[in-house]
Amino acid sequence: MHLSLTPAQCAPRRSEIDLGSFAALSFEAMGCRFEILIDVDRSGLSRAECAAVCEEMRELVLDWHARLSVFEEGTIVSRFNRGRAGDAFVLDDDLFALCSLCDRLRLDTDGAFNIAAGTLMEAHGFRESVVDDLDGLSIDKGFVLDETQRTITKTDGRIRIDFGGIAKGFVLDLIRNELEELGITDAFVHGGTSSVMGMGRGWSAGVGDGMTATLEDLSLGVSETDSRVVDGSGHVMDPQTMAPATSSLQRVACVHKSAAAADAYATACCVWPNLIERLGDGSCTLIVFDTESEPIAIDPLGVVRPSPEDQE
Amino acid sequence: MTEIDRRDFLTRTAGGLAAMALVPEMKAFGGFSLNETLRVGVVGVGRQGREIMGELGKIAGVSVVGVCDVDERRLKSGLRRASGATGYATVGEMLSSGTVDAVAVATPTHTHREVAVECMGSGVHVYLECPLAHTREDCIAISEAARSSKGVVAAGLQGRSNPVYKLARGFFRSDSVRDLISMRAQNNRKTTWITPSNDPVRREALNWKLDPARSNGLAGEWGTQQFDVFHWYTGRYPVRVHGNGGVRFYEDGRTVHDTIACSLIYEDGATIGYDATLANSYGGRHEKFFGSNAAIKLGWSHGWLFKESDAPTQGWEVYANRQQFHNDEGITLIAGATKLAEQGKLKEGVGLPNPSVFYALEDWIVSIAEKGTPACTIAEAARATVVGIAANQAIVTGKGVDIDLAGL
Repeated sequence: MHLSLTPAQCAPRRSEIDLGSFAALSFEAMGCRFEILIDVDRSGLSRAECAAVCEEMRELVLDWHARLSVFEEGTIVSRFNRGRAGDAFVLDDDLFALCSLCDRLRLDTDGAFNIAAGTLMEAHGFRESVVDDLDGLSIDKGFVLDETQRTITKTDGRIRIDFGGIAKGFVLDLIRNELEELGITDAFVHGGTSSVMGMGRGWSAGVGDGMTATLEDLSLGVSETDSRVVDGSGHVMDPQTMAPATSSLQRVACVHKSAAAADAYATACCVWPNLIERLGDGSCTLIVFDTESEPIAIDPLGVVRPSPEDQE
Repeated sequence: MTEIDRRDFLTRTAGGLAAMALVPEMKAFGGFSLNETLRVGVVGVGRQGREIMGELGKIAGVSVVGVCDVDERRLKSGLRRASGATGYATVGEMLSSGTVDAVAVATPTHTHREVAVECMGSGVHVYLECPLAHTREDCIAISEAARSSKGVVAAGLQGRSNPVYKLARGFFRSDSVRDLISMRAQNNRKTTWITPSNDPVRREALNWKLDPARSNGLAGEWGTQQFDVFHWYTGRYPVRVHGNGGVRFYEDGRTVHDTIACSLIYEDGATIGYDATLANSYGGRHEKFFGSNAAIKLGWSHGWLFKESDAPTQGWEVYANRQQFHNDEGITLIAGATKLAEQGKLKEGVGLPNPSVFYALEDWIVSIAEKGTPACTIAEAARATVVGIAANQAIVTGKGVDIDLAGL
């Protein structure tokens, strides 16, 4: 996917931006490269202070990277995944809030987005360990959250949760909150170019096929069905068939106020294209790339533009 | 190396346990049991304190029940990380609640004395982050409080509990490097050392590291941890230090140096060369021992042994994992190599699965469970801290400083 990190008003290519007026930091986390840009002149802070803000945001991302890892044995996520049905795991407030958000997004998307799809990722060879028996298993109600006790409990020992479909968007939302608390109103952050957040000025993110999305206090989430493939199947899982999604959609980009919701909706539409009409009803913009037809933009937010290259 | 160390090592390697030489003393990995849940309070929940909370969460039988910070925002953030924990604005309130058995202290260095002495006086077990304090007087006061404390008191000089460092020390003390020629260490990390805040009062409080009156500079805040590795390995302390430094990069009015270099000199003339900067990350943080047979490089999560071509080959080397660094080949020093090899995980780049602070905390908890002595005592931390304070003085003044460890 092409992503141009440019302010929309002038829509220059990245190489034409005066990066000298930005504090910038890039780093690896969550299996991708994050980049943070803060406009020093508009921040009211010194350059060193803006750089310090970038560092704080990096720590925030790395902290969540460590907490949500399914690869490190000690994390609560790994322990939950190894646990048995009925074992209640106490979560801290932050993690419980994330799980609750994921559950709301599961309901919003009729179950198409589900962190319990981690079970299917294992079953279909996207993880080192393997769940090889899916008989009689439903991931739709794979776990139960208890608000009072702050616990998460598996309904079946084979259930595995995986935050890979929302983690980047979730941390971008946290970053936006942190930046707002620090009084910063003009910034751009992305994780692997598939989760993008623009604050302040309209930031132009190219979404491919001659289109850009203008992010003015908005976020973009992009889901691609074939960005990771094992044995010819993509990594986006269909909770109904319990197998990799097989729709003809190649890519869905979603623009939403919340980066977490943008990530989840984009994934959900890739899984079940019939959600596109309902989800694109006003709270978000959806740009759909189908292998069998021209790209379609459902744009109630009015953010889709032709890319500068096409305008030329 | 003492004759006993050498004999012990030869006996072990001659026993035919080829991979044993790669396995450190791992009491922390063994089973230990706390009779009941250990209720821990964490004082100071900035970045370090939050990391401590996260690592404590990995240890069975430990529950963080109290969180204390004078900064309201940090307290709130800390509480969100500890389900069911109670928040306190002061240490006194936390201790008098009677709900904590142990306290981990991660407040700014210059506040350690007040917090630690109060905790130690109350009889709870204490883990105190290092450097221990920002003055020699505070080190002495904390040491005295630790001596009369009824709890297990551990200091956070993390090399002493780090499995890679323990393993490498076995090699060092068993003569693998042979004649020690020199020692070097560095800590390069591009970072501002600023904690951002849009509240001027809060900014002043949080940015103590950039205040010369409250900070020991790079040598004290970062160097102390690394200097102690040399103290622990050699069993000796340097007697004098020279240094220099400056603000080479951050033109923001700061006076605390962003780049430093110093030489710590032992009585016999051996030296530790140390440099650190906030302006460049190349090489990161590591310590190196250069000997006539081999060099050891330690990088906190990783360690390597670089042998000279004329050094004798030992049986276990056949099984060792190796890593190429330009023209040099390092033998990977990793804890539990035999187990990793069995699992097919003994490969290039393999390192510790947890950060160093995890092992320091685990060692403290094990010491509490076993009523034992922690890997790093307050006395050892006090001496290392005073070395760091002296190094900072030498750098700031540009004059040589004698290191006075009397009474510590």
